[in-house]
Amino acid sequence: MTQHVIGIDLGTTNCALSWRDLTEGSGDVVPIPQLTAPGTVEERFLLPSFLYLAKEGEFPAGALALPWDKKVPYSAGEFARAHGAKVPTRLVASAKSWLSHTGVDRNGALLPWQAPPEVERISPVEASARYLKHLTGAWTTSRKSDVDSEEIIITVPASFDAAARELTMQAANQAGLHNVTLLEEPQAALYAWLEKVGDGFRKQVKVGDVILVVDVGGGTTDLSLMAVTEQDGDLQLTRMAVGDHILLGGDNMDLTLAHHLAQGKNLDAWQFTALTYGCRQAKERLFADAKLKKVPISIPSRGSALVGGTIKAELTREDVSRILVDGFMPQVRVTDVPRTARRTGLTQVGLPYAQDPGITRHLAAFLTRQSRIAEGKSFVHPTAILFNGGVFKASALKARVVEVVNDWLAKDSGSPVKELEGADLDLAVARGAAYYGWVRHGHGIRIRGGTARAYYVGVEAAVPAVPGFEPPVKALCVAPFGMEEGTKADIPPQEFALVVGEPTVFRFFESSVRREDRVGDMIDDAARTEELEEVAPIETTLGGDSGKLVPVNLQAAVTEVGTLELRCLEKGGAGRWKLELNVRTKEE
Amino acid sequence: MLLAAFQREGRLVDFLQQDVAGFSDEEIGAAARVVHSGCRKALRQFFEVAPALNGAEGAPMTVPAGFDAQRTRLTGNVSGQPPFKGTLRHHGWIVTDIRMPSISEALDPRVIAPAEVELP
Repeated sequence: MTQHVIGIDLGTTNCALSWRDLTEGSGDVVPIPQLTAPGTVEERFLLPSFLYLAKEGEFPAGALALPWDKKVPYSAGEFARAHGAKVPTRLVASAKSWLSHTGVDRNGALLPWQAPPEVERISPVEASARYLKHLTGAWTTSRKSDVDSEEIIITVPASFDAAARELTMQAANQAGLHNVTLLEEPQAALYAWLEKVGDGFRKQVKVGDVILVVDVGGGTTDLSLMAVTEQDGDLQLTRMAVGDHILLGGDNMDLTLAHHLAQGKNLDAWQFTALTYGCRQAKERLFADAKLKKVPISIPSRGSALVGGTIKAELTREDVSRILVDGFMPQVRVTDVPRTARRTGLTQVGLPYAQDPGITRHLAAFLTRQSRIAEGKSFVHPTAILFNGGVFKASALKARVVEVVNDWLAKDSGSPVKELEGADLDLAVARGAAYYGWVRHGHGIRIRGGTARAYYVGVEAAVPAVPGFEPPVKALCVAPFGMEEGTKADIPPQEFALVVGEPTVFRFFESSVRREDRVGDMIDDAARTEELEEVAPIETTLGGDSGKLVPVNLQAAVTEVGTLELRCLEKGGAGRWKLELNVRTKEE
Repeated sequence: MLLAAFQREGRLVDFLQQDVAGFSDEEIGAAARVVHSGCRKALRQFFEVAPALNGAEGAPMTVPAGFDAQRTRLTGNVSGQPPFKGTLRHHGWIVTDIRMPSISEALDPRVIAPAEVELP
């Protein structure tokens, strides 16, 4: 018997937790006990997504203990972030971005990325599992209920591909969570808005509206388009499209300001972190008070001589508008595309950060790329805009995005967008996740959408071998765009034969723009079709007598929890095999 | 415990332990910003603080009979019977809520801040 739904915002830089009672509908966010210093546990609404892997004997015995886990050998949250700034080689950060990085083995023990051999590294999946364990510990301690009997909603970026969603589920299972459903973050933000406005929703939007959700978190920018439609007289929301995974967020902004102010100053890593933190606060003050011309920032000394050792810096309004507003939200044309730096022959493996910091340029590319749903216009015209993420506490940044979008619309004879007043920018995703759990039980409006991408497997064309010429690969659509949770699709018979007893690998493609492809459609030259993106391959090993060929049919299913499953069904037999999304490295 | 928090967040003990006589107001001011912003954050984390008496400082104020002598202190020409008519000089402070962190018993409470040794 389920009593609560627990909403978890598993963020790149911060996590949050909320709940809702499934009988009464009441709920709130949950303060999360965490270490703020060795031996000191305090509650905060946000759990910074940082993990500190302590050296044995580094802290007194019991100093890392949590109310629900006295023997935990690592620490997550505020103390991990603060202390990790002084010991970067033992700090795990941005685990979620690694989770969606196709260039590395995401189940491999990678993090901390720059750790010396002595540090026992962990995988991005394990790091995520540890945050989830911390959050469920906080829940169990404060609400005195067992998570096994609760429904759990975990949010993921809309731009997470099938493999990254699967890995998030894996992390949840490792954390001992089983009754889990995934929800896209921009949808969660919209649910939080729906919760806030209640029945006023009908007054704020109308049929035909297109809501653009701009979610700029600490580390990622996530874009989604939602349509307001009508069925049998009821308003409905449908998620139409999601953007690419853009590793660019509020942390980049604070870092840029800090780098600017650090010029000519001799700061160590810890002081630089202090400066970055000071910049974030100074920025928020400047944006909040239009009369302020500048805000002083003091960087404390490392030693105990505070007076005289403190370094002064000053953030001016001019800095903030030039560096942040013009740097991250430049006034661009809708036809502009994000710059991509040319890769040198040897690229150091690391997170694939966005090369272009211009968020408005990424937005332009997103709206233009989705021209298939633009109804004959050159880009999709949003009619309303919802902001999410702590970055937008700075209203000047919101105003700039609105200004730029309205400029594009005016030039294309559209009308200006309306800004929807969102809920709490930091906690909206967690709140929306819990509200979604309530909606799943038949209350309020559900956002429909299904998969935000179409998926394809690669089939090698049968052509005579020519030396030096790679045979073109055809892409067979196995799951169409918008395939709904809990449905499956049989792929029309194809001549697939699998070799039993050996690993079989399929190339795998996805597209966030091809909406017209149906299951079984074949695209001729996958590698040359720009709308298709090759992702990590899928593979399976079929049990049985080695070397035997088994003719199979393919079947795709979108599970209730929101992950994609591909299966091989033996033709005229009982054999069933699941195809695994390979999350180890993509062939570069 | 409180001292450790005020030191951690706002370097309070560093500031008070330092001899500041030889420094300029500007240098002390820069350090005071660190202390102010950090200690203010810590204070607000642990306590909800509110004025003991509501009213603008400098404004006339009536102190009724049976007033709480802990929350209100009379100064000046203290004589006669309440209600007293006077001027609010300082509105005082009271704590309306306390949120103390939980501290492990294994820790030595005498350590305000550990020494930091950086390894190359």
